[in-house]
Amino acid sequence: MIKTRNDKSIYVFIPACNEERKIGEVIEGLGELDLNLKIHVIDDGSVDGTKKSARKAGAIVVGHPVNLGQWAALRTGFAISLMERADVMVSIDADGQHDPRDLQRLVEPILNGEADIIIGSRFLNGDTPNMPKYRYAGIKVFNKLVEIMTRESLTDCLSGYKAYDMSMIRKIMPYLEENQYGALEFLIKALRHGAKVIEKPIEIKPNAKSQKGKLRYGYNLLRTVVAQYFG
Amino acid sequence: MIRGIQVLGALIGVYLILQTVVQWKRGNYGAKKTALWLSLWTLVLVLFAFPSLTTLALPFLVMENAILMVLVVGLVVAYVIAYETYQQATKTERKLTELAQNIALHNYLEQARGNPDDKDEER
Repeated sequence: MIKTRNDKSIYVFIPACNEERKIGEVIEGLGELDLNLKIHVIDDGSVDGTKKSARKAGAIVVGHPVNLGQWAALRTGFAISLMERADVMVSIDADGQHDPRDLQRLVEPILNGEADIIIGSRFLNGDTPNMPKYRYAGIKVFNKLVEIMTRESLTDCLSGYKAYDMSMIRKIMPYLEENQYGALEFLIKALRHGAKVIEKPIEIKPNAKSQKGKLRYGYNLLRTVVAQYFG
Repeated sequence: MIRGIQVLGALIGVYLILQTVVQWKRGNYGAKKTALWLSLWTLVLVLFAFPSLTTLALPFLVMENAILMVLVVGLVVAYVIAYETYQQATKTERKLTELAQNIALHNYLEQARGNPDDKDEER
């Protein structure tokens, strides 16, 4: 049976670690959308009430027994989406920095068959997002590295708000090696396998505190990009 | 005459050999790993006990100074050990990640079958 546009199941994954105060708000925001969403929280070793808050807000909670990092949580999300034969997968941050209402704009090109991966870009709506300068510079450097390796010019390759066509994930999964810091490995491999990646502007809430941008995170991302270059 | 540093070095060598044997007896080290570490620590022990032996290796390594040779060889060995340790740590981290993800998927499937994990409910 061929699925119509409205039949397509969209699996949303929210990697969360100690986000009990914000997670409910994110889930409720997603629940208000008029889309066939299956909302999952990947609780990444939280020690607060994240699981409880997520369940209370109506999400399905999948728990990592220890903290593995955001990409590992998304890998778990990929595995579940494949098991459940989802059509589209979306990742969104748990700290409330992303606006759930932007999700419609992200999944639209996939539902219309126009793209395989949609990146919610923080830099396309005209304003410079409120973030530390070192992180802003780091994102620019990684955008450039991705461009050098794939000839695809992106503005926000490290955005946590992305939508994926599951057929692309199915295609790329066997080639993935990195389990914890693989966001760019995935993107580079997808582009090299001919994925159509487009960016859509998203709104960022300035008060949200991102855990990304730490030195170790940056180092490991760089390591994975270098591995792709020589791999 | 035996110098204090020789005695200290030899004692450290003996301690490391004993530690290696203990690890082997506990089953933490296989035959290859035990042999590798025993050879290394025995070499350390012998070189501390008989420092003049280092001069025998000078012509093979085309070096003139025994102390410099020991330093260079020691550094190379340290680099190798550091790299090996890094590889092992990466491998262990990967295995742990996979294990934790498998546990999460197992619990998800149990949940889907209607057997929610009671432990999760506590939080």
